[in-house]
Amino acid sequence: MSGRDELEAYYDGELRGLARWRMERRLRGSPSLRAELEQLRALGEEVREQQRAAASPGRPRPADLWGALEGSLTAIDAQVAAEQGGSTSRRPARPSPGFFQALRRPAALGALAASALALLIVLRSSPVEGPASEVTEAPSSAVVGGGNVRFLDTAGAPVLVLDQADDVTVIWLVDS
Amino acid sequence: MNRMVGVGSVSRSLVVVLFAISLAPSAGWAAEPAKRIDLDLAVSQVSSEKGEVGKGCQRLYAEIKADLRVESCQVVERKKLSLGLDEVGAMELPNGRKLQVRPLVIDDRGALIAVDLEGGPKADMRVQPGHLVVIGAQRHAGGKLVVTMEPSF
Repeated sequence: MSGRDELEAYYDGELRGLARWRMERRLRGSPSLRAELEQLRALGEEVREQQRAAASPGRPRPADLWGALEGSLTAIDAQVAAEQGGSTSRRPARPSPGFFQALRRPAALGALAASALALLIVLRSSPVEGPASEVTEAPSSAVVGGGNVRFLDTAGAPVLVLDQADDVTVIWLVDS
Repeated sequence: MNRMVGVGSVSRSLVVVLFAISLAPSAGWAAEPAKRIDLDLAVSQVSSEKGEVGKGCQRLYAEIKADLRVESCQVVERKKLSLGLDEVGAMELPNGRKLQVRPLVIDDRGALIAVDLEGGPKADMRVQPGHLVVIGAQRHAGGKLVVTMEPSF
């Protein structure tokens, strides 16, 4: 998981145990990382504000992202139906020419943009497989260059590596 | 007279040669001394239970207490090793496991040392003089054994 992905996972409450402890330790020591976390918080708040604004007056606030999307699409449906003088019944699966006309309206565009942004944040928060970018929790056997530990083999045992100080390196077997 | 002059010339030549030989080491003619590294090894027992921080354990305790919840530390065993390149040094831990170290490279960037803890991690470390290497090993007698290594070269 890349550094950015790990930070977003932490923001979303997806990190547990050792990974969460490790991220909190990094945040304590890095003002730039704390600033990134604040940006995430601000962005999340902005998206929530837009979703609240996009929801119809008097309609209950959706509990999840798909609820918010459904609310936005339903609002677009109602708008299109009002313009065409048709019914507000459920839309067909394939969009009609009127759908795209409705998309050009500012309210519909804003609702869709907010939903897309929220969806993007959710997707980016999902754990992504990838090589570790720095030595903190080392895999079983790896060349972990970049710090003072150039090779590490723990035969599958979980291990923590603290290699951030200039004159101290810690390799710590994590007790099971 | 001529014989005396000849003998004197040979003696002078001999003195010059002997003097030159005696200067050879300082002139760099001798072979480069083998690179060696001194290692200060220690095995300590640490615990998350409140307790004393023993003599010789202060630096280790200071470095790990915040991150690894260590409340007490006592040095169990110490050993000093002087190793040449590819020479293996060993130390036995209180739990019967063996620690082995081997200098692989010593150059102007520091030293590359292989550390092998039986039943524990195996690592190659690039270190500078005075660099403290801490290896938290297996649990033992209610605490945890920690191996520290401090090189000088």
